[in-house]
Amino acid sequence: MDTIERISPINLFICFGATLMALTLISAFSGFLALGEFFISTFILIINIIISVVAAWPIYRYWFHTKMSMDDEQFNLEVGKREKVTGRWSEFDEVSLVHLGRGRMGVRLYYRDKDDFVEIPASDLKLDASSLRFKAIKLTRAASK
Amino acid sequence: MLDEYILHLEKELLTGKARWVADFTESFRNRQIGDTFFDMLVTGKTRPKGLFLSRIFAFFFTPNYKVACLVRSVTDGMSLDRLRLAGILRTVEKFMKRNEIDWSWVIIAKEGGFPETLKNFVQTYRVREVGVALVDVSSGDMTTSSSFIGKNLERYAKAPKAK
Repeated sequence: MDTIERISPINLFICFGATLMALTLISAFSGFLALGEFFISTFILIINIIISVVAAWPIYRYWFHTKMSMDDEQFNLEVGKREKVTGRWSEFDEVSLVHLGRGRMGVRLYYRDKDDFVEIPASDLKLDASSLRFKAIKLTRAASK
Repeated sequence: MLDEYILHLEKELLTGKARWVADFTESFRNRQIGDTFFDMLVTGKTRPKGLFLSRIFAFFFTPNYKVACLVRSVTDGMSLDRLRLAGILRTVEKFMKRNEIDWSWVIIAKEGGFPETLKNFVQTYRVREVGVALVDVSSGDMTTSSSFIGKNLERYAKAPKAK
C-alpha cells in the first residue's frame, strides 16, 4: 500500500498565526486588567512568538496533518488525529473534484449505499487533484465490476 | 485537444476568473442527465463563502443563486444538428427545474467549425436563465446566445491559445 504524507506549510502557518493571535489577545486583556490599558511589551511579544512556534507543530499535527495510503482495493485517510476513514473503492459510485477554499483542491467520493461522502484533501497531500480524481474514477469503476 | 480544453475550463471555473461570476465548487465528469451524456458538470452558488467579513458582505449583498455549467464535446462520429441541440437544452432546462438551479451555462465544444444553422439557432435562443456557447476549440471561435448569461461566456469559456 502506497503511503503519502506531506507537511502543509500553509496550514502550519495558520496554526502559528492563530496561536500568536490568541496569545496576543490574552496578553492585551491581561495588560488591561493589570495596568488599565491595552499594552503588550516587546518582551511579551517575543515570548508569545516563541510559544506560538513551539505550539504550532502539535496543533498542526492534531488538526491538519494529512496522511493517506492507498492501493487498488482500498484507502486509509487520516486528517490530523480527529478524522480517520478507511474505505474500499467498491463502496463508492461517484467521484468529483472539489474546491475546498483558499485554492485548495480535493476529491470527493460518494458512498453507493448512503447519502454521505469522503473528502480527500489532495492539495494538502501535494497531489494533483485532477489526476487523483481520474485515478479514483478508474479504481471505483474497476472495483464495482 | 477537447480534453485539454475541458481541463482548462474546469480550472477556470473552480479557481480562475469565473469565480468573479459564481463560486463554482464541484465538478463531475461524464454525467448522464436524462438521455444526454455531458463531459463535465460543474456546480456552485453565486454567494461565495470567504472569511468573516467577506461572508457577512456576501450575505447582505449577493443573491444566493444555485448555478451550473454543463459541457458537452462533439467528436467526429457524433452528429449535432438543430433538433439535437434543442433536445439537449430542453434536458438542461428540466435538470435546472428539478435541482432548483437558477441559471446555467451550456458549452458545446468541438474541434472544427459549427454549421451556420446551429450558430443561428444559438444566437436566437431566448431563455434568459441559460447561456449557450458553441466553442470551436481549434480556432478559438465562439458563438454565444444573446442573453446576459450567454454573453458572459465570451469572457470565461474561451479556448486557450495554442502554444
